[in-house]
Amino acid sequence: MAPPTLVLSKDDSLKAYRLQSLLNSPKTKCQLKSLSQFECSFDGGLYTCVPFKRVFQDCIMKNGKRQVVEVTDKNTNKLQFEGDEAKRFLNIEANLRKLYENDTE
Amino acid sequence: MIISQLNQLRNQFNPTRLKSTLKYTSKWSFLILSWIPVLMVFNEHVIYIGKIEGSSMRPTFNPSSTSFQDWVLLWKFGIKDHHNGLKHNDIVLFKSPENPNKILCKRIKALQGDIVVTRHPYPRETCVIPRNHLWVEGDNIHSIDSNNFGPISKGLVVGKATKIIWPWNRIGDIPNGGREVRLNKIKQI
Amino acid sequence: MENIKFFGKVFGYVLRGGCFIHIFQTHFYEFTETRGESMLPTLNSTYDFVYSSKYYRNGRGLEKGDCIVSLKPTDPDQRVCKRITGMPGDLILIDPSLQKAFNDDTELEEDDNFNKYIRVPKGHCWVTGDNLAHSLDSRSYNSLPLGLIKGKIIAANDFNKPFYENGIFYGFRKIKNNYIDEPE
Repeated sequence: MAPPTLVLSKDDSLKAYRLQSLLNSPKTKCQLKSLSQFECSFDGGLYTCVPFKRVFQDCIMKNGKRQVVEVTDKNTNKLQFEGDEAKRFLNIEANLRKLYENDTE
Repeated sequence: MIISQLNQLRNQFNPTRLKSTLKYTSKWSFLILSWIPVLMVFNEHVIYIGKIEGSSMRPTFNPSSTSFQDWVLLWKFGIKDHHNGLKHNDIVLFKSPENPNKILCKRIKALQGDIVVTRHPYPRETCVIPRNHLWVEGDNIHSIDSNNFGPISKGLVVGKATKIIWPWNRIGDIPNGGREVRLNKIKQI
Repeated sequence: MENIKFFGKVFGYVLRGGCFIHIFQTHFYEFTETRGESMLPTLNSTYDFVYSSKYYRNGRGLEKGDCIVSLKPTDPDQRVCKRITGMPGDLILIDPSLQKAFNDDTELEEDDNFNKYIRVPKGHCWVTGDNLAHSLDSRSYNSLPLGLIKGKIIAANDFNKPFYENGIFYGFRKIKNNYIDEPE
């Protein structure tokens, strides 16, 4: 287990780690980066996979240090969330949960 | 005299003899080299000798600032066993959670399921130790330990210190030390 | 006497050979099977064998987006394959995934999902399985100490696939880092 980690909102964490002024400085150079993973579920025949993207601001601050801040929001995966694949995925998941609940009863 | 020396020289550079020496050395170097992995495996999984540096385990190790580093026997076999592996008050060497290339030496103060009364600078007053984790503290109050980095996973442990083997005047078992951290034990007192 | 000598010799060879393989596997390179749904669709749940380079053990030279093999913090007898989604110092969201968003009932909580940040502590990394829906990872056991990392996965073979197909043996493919530039 890791050291106790604080869960904060974005503004609070930027304040807590004193990153605001560093990141807002004009000398800070940022590059938008992304990392794609998936959410898959199995319905006995095929895997249904919904791509899931996370977006990051990868910055080199004026003191030369690198700082990555995630900027994923509601709209990042909106298209995938509303697509047919996602509906199928959630369907399978709901069925699985039902099966599981019946099992435990 | 000179002739006999020349003869000797000629003997040394005799091709058949050279061949046999080559064969001999290659055979022996192969034999020695092939046992090195065995030694490494033995050191990695059974017994190793470790050096204790720093003052965090004072007075158990390095009791005075003038004494040299203590050397200890590290037992590694079977320490990951669930029942007779690591116990309360054992001294373990483990990879630092903050820097994996650094090895730290601390005393186990609580095992999985225990509730620990923490010390400064841990942000909460108590901590429940998760599955397969250990709470480790130095015997000295000035020590960077679980109060800084939280419970550590058993997977980080590299060995258990069982005996002091140097300096000679303290050869033998390792004395107990440190404070009691477990909530239920503290209440009993 | 001859027999004992013979067995001693055989035992010596087996011991030395076994130890050599073990040292090679822990310090240089390993080829092993992986199981489980957590890395779908990058790695199959069965019959997938991975090549892992041990140069990267203890987190040396690893980057965000790499696939790693590590010991499971809550059960060090088990090994897990995951992808690094946060390096020390990164400010990242705990779990913005689809399932989580749909499980929450109220609008407010859904918003909250995209505003729960943590900072990955020194000497640790944040790992998640490629299949976010069925993966036990940093979201449940918190950040992973770099000291538990055993290697980086660089390639994989799929033994469900035929021996030779389209110039590829047993579905061989490289496992790449997927942390890439995003067009703005």
